[in-house]
Amino acid sequence: MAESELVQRSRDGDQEAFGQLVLRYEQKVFNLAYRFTGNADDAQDLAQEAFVKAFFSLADFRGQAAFGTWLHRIVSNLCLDELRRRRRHHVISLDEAVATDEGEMERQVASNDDTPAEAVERRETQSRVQAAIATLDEEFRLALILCDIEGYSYNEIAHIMECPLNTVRSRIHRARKLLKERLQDRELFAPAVVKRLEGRESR
Amino acid sequence: MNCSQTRKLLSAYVDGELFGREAADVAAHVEACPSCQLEFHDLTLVKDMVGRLPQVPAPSSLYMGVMARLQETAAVSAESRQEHAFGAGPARATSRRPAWLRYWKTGVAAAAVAAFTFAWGMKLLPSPPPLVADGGNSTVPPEQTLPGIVQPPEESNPAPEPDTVASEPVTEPSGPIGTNPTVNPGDAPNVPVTNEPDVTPPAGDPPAEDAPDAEEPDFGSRFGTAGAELPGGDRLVAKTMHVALTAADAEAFAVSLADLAAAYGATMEPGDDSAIRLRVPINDFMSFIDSVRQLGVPDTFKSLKNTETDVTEAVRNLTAERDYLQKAFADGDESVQEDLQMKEARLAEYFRDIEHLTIEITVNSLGS
Repeated sequence: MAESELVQRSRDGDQEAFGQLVLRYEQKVFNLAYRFTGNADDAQDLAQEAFVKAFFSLADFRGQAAFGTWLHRIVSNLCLDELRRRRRHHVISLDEAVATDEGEMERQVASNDDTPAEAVERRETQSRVQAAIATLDEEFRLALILCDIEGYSYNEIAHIMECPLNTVRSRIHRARKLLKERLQDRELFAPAVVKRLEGRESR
Repeated sequence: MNCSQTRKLLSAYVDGELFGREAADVAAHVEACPSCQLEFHDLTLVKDMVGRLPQVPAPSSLYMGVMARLQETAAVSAESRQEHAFGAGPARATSRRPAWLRYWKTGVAAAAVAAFTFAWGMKLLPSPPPLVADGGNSTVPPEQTLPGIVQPPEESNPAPEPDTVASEPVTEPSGPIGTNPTVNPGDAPNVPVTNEPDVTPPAGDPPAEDAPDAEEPDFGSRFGTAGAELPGGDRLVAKTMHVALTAADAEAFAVSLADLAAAYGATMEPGDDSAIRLRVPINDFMSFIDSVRQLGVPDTFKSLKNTETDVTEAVRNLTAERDYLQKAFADGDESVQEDLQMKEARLAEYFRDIEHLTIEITVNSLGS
């Protein structure tokens, strides 16, 4: 069934139709929440909340944007709200996020074709990147995830984050510069750059 | 196009988000300039690293959870529509709001609190008030400086006046109301007491702010020079104390509490699970707690736990970020204005948490 029809039916209260939309988008939505919060439990809570909220706000959705973009706006707002709430309550724990992340990574790496040594290195790199993302301020983090992980264009991100295009540009640029600095702090980046540049030259 | 113009556009260039003339200019510059070329490679690498993070599969319980919630909520809303139709009771949404909040939202306390918070937040960054009025051991936790000592509010603070507490005979905040061992946060098992009480600050007379430190202007001026002498260095800690008590009438309690909070210049807002959250200036918290204790039914006051959060790293990062944006804004980049304001507000929030003790009060009502 076409997405627009599923949306239309969902708006009329058809929960089964909405279930189809959930299945289509749960991966993207969950992944965004996961990369933003850094752990699976929070990500699931946020993603669930976002879908429920979307269902009951469908009346506001007039098809001015793609359904996916509209849905991502809801998820993004929930992510930002949640973080603000948590900052007030001081329960943010980056260590915890990283620890959970490694658990997740372990599972994924098992299915990889890497040699064990490569798998370990890859896992380590990934959890460092995730930890570095977690240090970014939430707007920077969100813009970066929407761009580099979810693959949205600047225009779409401006729509999702409800901010001017220029702001998207400066947020992403700033996020990347900070990420580079922080990965350098962790002595991960510098050798990688060398390796990378050498690789490029020999190609 | 020079290097600094190019640098600003490099991320957009990496993302293929530059068009026409801009794209051509950046491409030409990157081609000719080795250092911008390296930066371009770095940014590309960062993008790749983030992009290569694996997709974490959504748990199957997500779909089930969403569908269950939809059915549940649909059932509840149908029920509440029915209740409405028959005029049977208030709507659900409002019944969950604690009674004190309704009072507080409309009460005098709210205005005082809002004005306080606002004024404080505004002047915070350019010319911050000293962390505490002792000018020295600014990050020494109150539990360390005040075990067993009840400190009346100092002259420099808004002195609580019993007259302002409407019709409640229970508040006498400025009097030395003895130290009840059950109230003393120093007794809480998870709070290490490392300092002797001899670091108790002298009353009043905050010293003038030092000139900004050359290396870390904001950070340095804010935390003074004495911070370095503290064990653990410039540690910034936000403290929360969780207490519970029983009140004969929860609503009356909340009203008295709002008055008390206003007298102390404390802020008051909803906390977790219908608890009440207050932020009390850190110097006054002992006498404040004592006054709160007396608002409840005798001997029902319990100190549940104390939590400390080290926010040093967060504040440091945020300060650096703020400075960066400030510089960008000063250099004419208006796209950062919104973010700059956000960082400043967020910093203000952190400092509010550091300079106040947060108290979460869970009130049990005898009536319910």
